[in-house]
Amino acid sequence: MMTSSNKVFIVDDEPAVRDSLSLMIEQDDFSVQAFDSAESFLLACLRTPCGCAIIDVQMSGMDGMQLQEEMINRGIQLPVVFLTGHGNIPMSVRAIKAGAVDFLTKPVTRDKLLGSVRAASRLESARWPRLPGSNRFSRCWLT
Amino acid sequence: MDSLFEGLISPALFDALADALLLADEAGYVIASNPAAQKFLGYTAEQIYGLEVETLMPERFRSIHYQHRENFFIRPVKHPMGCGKGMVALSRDGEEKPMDISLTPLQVKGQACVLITLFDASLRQQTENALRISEERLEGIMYHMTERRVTEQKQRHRRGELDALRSQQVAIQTATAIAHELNQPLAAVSAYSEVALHELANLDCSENLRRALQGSAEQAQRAGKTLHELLEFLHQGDFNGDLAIAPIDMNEMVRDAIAAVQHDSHEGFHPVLQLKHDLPAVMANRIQVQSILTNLIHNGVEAARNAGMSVSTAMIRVQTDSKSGMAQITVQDNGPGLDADMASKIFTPFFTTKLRGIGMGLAVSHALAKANGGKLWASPVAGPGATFYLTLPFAS
Repeated sequence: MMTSSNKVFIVDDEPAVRDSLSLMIEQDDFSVQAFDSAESFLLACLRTPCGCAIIDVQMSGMDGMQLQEEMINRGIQLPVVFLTGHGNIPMSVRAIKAGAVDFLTKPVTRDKLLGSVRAASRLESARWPRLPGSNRFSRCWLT
Repeated sequence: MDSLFEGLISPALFDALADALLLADEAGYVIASNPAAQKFLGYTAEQIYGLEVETLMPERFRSIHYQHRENFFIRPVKHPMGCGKGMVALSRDGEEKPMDISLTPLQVKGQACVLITLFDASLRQQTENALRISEERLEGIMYHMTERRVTEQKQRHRRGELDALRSQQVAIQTATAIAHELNQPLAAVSAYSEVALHELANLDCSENLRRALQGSAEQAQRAGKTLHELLEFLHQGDFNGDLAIAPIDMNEMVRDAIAAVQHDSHEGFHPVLQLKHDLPAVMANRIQVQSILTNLIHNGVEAARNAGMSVSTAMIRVQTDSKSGMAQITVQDNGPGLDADMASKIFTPFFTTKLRGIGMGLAVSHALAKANGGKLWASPVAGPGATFYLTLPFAS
């Protein structure tokens, strides 16, 4: 049962990470779209999509924290799960305060990642519970 | 004259002495003089004879001298050289001449007289003056040398601190970069293994295959955990209370950094400072901010000089300003500049455009700016050369 909130966007500049995480998340009946940079994600993200995003913190160019800030500026209200190679407490506190669902470190276990993605996905469904299908579709990701 | 000195001194000897000699009687009149005295005072022997000794001194000393003279003849004792030190004679043409004097009571033909010896003190005073001036100059030089030594010590100390900070930061950033590079494939290995394990869950397959995949997932996660522990150890001083921060004046920091780069680099440049007057103090670690600024200025100088700029044309513009609640420092050079690709990679560890250099300077500065609650970024378009922006939070 594919609903629009089952969509997961992965933003990570490491191809092997994008590929392996896509496989993992698809196994849990989500549809995945992956981006190699914050900039390419923002370009495709013309309106608020449905679903949730897994965003790498350390990326060359715009990093994950800057992407979150930019999404807030543009009014893109998408639940975000952060993945980081090297996190610290102030950074994770800042991310969570700005609305991130979770702040996970790499390598991440299947249980942890899917747990966070499901939580983000539930949050998304709860946020738009009574929207008519047509309106929902208009907010959704167009590919 | 001959009779005057009878039994006392040979008149020839009196005349031949190089010291200026006068003989005065109890009433204070000159009764004899030698050529040295005549020359010193500008009189002939005839002119000086019979003059009151007070005539031979400036008017302001005369009245007091009458008293001294009377006292002298009441108790005539020898006044050696030195007690009349710093006195002034008045020559015939009105010139005041510094002199030292000594007085010797004599009995001449039963009369109390006084032999006055005059020493020209102008030479002594000149020597003393010269000595005083040279002493003062020496004191000045000593003071200057001490000042310079203190300044040099301070500069050495500051350079030592900066060097220590830099090498520590290079080590940290190097280890961080390596850890990050290793962590990415580990994350992929862990995820791939778990994906495979999940695929096998519904299949009838060998337990060994399952165990092998389980092991590879676990070991990748274990290696990742070790890397996180290493990173935590390396960065433990970054964000907790270890960072000593204090209010600092950015304009002063900019001037210091310019001076430090000018002092350290053999190749000169032309600094242009546009410092915002009354810029509020920022809250940051002084040494780390100094390290960022000298790194940016030094890079700019190198870029301009490597592009063939001479001392007079290599220019570094540093501006301080207040932008959206932060202090913003702009460092711009007039070198070849950065294209968009370089601007996006320039803070990556081991990225360098220099022939020499390991590409850690800007990576370190970037990390330091972040650790101080600020940001450091490069603009590919803003100027003729490269333009770097540093922001730091205000103290209040």
